[in-house]
Amino acid sequence: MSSAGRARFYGQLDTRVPKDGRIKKAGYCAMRSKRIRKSFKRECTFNWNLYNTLVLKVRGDGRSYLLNISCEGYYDITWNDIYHYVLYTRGGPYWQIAKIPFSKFILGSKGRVQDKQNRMRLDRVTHFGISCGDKIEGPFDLEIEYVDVPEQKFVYFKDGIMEVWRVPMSQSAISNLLRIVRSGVE
Amino acid sequence: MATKIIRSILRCKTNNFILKRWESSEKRVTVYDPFVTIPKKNKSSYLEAIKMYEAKTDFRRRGHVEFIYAALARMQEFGVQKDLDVYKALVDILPKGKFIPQNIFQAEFMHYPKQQQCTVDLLEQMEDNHVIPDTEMEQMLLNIFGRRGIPLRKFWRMMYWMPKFKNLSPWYLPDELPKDTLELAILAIQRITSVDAETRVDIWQTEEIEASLDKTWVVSAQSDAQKVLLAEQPLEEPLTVRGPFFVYLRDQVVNYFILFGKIRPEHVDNKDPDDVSNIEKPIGIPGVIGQSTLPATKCTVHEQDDGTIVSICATGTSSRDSLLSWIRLLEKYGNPLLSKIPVIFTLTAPSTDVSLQETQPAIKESKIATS
Repeated sequence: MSSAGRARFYGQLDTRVPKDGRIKKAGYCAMRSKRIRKSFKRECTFNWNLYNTLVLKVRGDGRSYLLNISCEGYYDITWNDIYHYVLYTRGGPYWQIAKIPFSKFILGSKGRVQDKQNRMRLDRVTHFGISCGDKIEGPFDLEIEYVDVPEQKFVYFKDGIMEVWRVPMSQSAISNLLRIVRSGVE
Repeated sequence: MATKIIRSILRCKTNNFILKRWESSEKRVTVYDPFVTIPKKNKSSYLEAIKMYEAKTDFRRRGHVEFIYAALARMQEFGVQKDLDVYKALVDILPKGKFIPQNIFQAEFMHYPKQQQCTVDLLEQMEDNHVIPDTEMEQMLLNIFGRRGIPLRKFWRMMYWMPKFKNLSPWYLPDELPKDTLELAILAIQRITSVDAETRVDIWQTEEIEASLDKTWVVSAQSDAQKVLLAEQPLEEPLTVRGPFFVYLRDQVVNYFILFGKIRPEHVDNKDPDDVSNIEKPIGIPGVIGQSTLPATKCTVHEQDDGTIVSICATGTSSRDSLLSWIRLLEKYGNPLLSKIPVIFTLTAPSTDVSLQETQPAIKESKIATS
């Protein structure tokens, strides 16, 4: 816990490789959430079907951190599938709110980015984690105030649903939106 | 059984020819590493070492895989790990045309696996050092391994993903970070204070203050909102200078200090909203000028839980004296209240003063004997 009362992910990264002939690179640190369980310790998954962004309020030290969402499947090939996103922190004492849509996460297996990218199975999310592995030696420090999956508003119209983002819109964008909604409603 | 015979032979002490095989040899094989013998380690000498290897009259280029691995390991010493030309020169060592598979079985079963693995390791080192290859390298790899080779697959993957990931950071940093600490500090302070667009980053010299002992530069950042917040600070409560905190600029670290003030007291609005006896004129009507002070409730990004950030700075020497000069310079350049408010310096000791206890000390690499 940091002095400001928030969660603190800190430590020292050392890129010296242990000389045992097997390991080629070293220096990373990761943490992740526990697997949520139902009653009687049955394993369970997060269901994030209704959401499409991840919001984090963090205070970093200028380093880049990886946000990892793991959607382990049943088959052993998929056990190491993790969706990564690189979060760049500003550094300094100011808080930073990062809103990341789930579509920006990139699939990797055991750290290797895969050729075939799939959309994340939001109904089967097992873990969320943060790691620091940017090959820079030295101390790292990340204070996290909250990790949030905010509610997303949807507009339902005839042929489907549309996500509504509160973005300052230009006049042409507003007229376009009205045109789509009107055509859907008819 | 064999040992008995050997022992009997040895005990006879005959000068047998066979005996010579079992003598312990005092000769040891010396390893010649061309990269260790070079006195001046820079890009041109590295390329020269590669050329010397290629120029050997033995056209078979024996041990080229081991040479490439040794060269990759030594790149850090020569400082060429981020140089694309050097990687191209290394790939050039491999012969063109010989490793291309001629039939379907060769293509399927990783023709010349050692060489392919070596090239993949080379590309991996390029990726780790954030070096993006180009089409010339693709052509070289095509000529060496053909379309079906593993290194080419890795190359195509690199060319797809690396440009996407190159400029992901919202805070732009040039590819080559400046070596000068003043420039780095300016970049760092600009990065930290990019929250508030009104921030002014000033560079002052401590020589302007006569009483300063440290002669160095001071990069200080303060926005208008922070100036107003400082002007509204209570005079009896001291401000604190906290630090040094560190911020990373890719792989460089810059230490900075923060001047903290007190949080504004909670604004309690007890006005009855239904009272119409004294309604204020709203802003926006011509003739009515809005307030020049900040709104009463805590609303700026500078006001945080443990205090109000009034200013941020980085100095050349992060010493207490330079920070004192910083406070005096702040007072000189637009914050006259600082002469009256007491300032407390709560600084953590820099990490170099404290000796680190290591559980596993780094083992020094033994120098390889050179011929």
